[in-house]
Amino acid sequence: MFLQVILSGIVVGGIYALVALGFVVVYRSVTMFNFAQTEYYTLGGMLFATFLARYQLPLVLAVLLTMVVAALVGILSERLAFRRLLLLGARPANLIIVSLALAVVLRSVILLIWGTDARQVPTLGNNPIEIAGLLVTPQQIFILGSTLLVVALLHLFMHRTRLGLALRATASNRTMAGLMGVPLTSMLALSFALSAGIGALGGILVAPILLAQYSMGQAILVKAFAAAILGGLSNVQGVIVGGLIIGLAENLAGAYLSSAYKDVVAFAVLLGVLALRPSGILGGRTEEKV
Amino acid sequence: MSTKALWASAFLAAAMLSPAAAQSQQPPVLIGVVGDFSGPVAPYSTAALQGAQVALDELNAAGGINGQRIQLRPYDDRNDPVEGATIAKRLGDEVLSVIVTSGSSPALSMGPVLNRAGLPFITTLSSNPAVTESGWKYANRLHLSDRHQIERIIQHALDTDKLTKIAILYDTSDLGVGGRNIALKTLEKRSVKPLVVEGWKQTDADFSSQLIKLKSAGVEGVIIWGAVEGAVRIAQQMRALALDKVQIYGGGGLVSQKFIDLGGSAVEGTIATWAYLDTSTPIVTALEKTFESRFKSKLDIFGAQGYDALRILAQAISTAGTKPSDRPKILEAIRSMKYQGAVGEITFGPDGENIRKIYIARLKAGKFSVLD
Amino acid sequence: MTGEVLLSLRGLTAGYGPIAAVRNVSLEVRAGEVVTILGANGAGKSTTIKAIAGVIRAWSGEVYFAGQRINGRASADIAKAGIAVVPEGRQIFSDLTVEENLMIGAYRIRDRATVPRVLDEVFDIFPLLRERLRQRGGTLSGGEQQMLALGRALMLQPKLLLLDEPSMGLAPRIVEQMYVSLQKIVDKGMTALLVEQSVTMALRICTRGYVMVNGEIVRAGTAAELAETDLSGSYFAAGDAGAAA
Repeated sequence: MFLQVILSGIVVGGIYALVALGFVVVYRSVTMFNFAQTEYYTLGGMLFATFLARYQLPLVLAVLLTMVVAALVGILSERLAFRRLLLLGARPANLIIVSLALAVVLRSVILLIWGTDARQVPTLGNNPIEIAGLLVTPQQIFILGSTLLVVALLHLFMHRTRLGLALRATASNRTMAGLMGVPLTSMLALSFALSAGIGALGGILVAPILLAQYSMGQAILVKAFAAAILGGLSNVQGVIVGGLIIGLAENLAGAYLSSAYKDVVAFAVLLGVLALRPSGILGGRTEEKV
Repeated sequence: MSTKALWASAFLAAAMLSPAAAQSQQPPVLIGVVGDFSGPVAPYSTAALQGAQVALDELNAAGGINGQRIQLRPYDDRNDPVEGATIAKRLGDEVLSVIVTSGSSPALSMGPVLNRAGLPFITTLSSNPAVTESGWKYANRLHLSDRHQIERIIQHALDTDKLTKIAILYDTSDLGVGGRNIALKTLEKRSVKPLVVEGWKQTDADFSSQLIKLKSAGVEGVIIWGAVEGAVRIAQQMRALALDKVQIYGGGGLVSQKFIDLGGSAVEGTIATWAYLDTSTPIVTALEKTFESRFKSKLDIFGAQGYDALRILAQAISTAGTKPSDRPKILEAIRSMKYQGAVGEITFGPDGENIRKIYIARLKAGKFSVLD
Repeated sequence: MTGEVLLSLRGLTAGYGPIAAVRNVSLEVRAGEVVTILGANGAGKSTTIKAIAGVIRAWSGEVYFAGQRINGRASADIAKAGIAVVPEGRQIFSDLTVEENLMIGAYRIRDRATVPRVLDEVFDIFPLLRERLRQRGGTLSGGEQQMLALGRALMLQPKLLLLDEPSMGLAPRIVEQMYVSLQKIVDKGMTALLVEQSVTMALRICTRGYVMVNGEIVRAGTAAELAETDLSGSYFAAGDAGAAA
């Protein structure tokens, strides 16, 4: 039983980490929390459900198309909701309020398009395979594999490409990056596109086991937020650790205490870590602003 | 407007509603129908109103109540409990008796107001036990209550399926928690101790910690009480943990196309209580024909319950009288009658709860059918 | 030796909030020149640099570079036009490696094949950077950071170098070394506008200069002319008084 609990904690933690990664990508480049992040996740689930079930697109095409559309919505969000404020150097509190408003707008649009009904999304496989006494479904393997792949690709993008370098430079010192010829507006658009695309992938991965529904983003918001905070907000590895800690904590609490304590324990862990290490689990590597 | 003109316009309205009774000289017997006719549960409320309209035509064609025509007055609460309470306050002055086709939350906000006004009322949609368990003397229910459904499903699990290793999963809404409490009490009476009792929030995504407990406890049957989406997620995740041999039991909410569509093969075999409408009886066959030709939609259990509700009220009023002061006698008549209607044989208990056969249905090959 | 006008400021006024830190400044830099702006702390020298680079917006007046008006453009576009900045306080990307700091300078180079060549030119002037490639920028000493800031600016292959207080906070020996490197750069034909509090270092390398006091240019002349003026006595005292007010 213990290992089975750990396994499902890891799978859930992987999803939290993926959504939290979206938070971090934007936070790194503009030092703000985009609370609309989980709406990209909802959008991912809904679009994926539509592409697969309604238009019968092949899986890979549906995944790619969903991520591209979500990325475009991310770019639009940045352009219409945030850019002016970011260029004017608005205070973080104002940006947060705008992001909350954006979340409401996106959720309303999702409601208008898809309504309140949950949608069924075919899984890659829900019949468990037994590995060393553990039951694993193909969908769970797909979730874990995709999360690892995305983290690896993101790491490569950030550290091996010219655009990734420019993004990191912008995150490190926005003014100086501009003076080096890195166009700030493109970097903002890029980070929103990336974060929305990653968020949508989270939605794609969970839709088959949780049903795609307009409220799925609200349901995961607090957990993903906690994972991002735990991870220290600025590095990718930290977010993975943060997501896994939340996922494991709540699953262990649910299994050995009661499901009523799942959330309580997850947040107690968050508060405990913040009290001991205010900059997160892998803290100390916060971006230096000169 | 003079009194004469008022009467004249009332007659005119009555004439349009019910041509057969137009000759009658006496004022009509007014019955209020409150429901959600423009909001989220509008399909159910509307079906009940339409059923009542069919009964109205039949009753008036047969001479009304002792020669007095019956007239229906619809009130739209838009499924809003505040609106419901506001409407309920007016009803004592405007109608003799009420049919409440609203969902649980407006029904529960109307209950105390109607009770204080001494208005006998029948609810046709809410399954919340509080309707008949809040001490509202004038309340009556013509639908399956959660209490009866849970008692019935547990009886089926223990006696018919002969299971002893039972788990309860409930969502943390009023509905779910209420259901859990009833289930616990019912099992206690049968001296069965549930092996696992766990809740879930409607926003919850992952049920593995609850389900792993089911697995390690070796549960044979699980009673799932909550919203359809949650039940579907649980069924799917049960499959992922090779718990597909565990029998799922649920309430009437699961007997819906939505559950079947969302759940697919994972929910196959689900056993649930069912507000079943037996379409083979002559009374239903006739009702179905009239209903479907008039409203161009299929008759369902809610339409049938609306039909029966008005017939029950009319029968009670015909023995008790049509004056506001006759209302206590109307209530008495409802409680003492033995009614044979579209939904079968019905009597009302002293608390106003309807007593009728509760069917058990089983999902097989993507379709629910009566098991018992 | 001097060519056409590369940079020209016409009546530039700029500042922060309600305060104009720079008022009605006009100056010119011709191709091949090293022009210095001297002045006390708070005289408006850095503000002038920031306004040229597009970090802050000019309130009025114009900035022309290579015949085009550049004020109002984003700093990234100004960088693309050929102006590189070595900012006050060096502003290296502290969590990026030395190599990454330099590669950021090469962000705009379209022909990626030329990047190693440009990098070699920088290493010729600052051989130390080659040894520190994998080190994070934040771990370098002040002098090394200043070399990195200069090297990073050169990676842009600029037509004009804006230097804001390059000697600030550095030990005299390091300043000496840095000006030797700067001289090498200038000798290769680089045009530069240098803002400096250290009058002796600035006058040693510049061809011409301006003196700013309280946001205005009060004097202009060749290096030799400015050297003869008693700057510390008259202007700088006034400037300090103004800054304190």
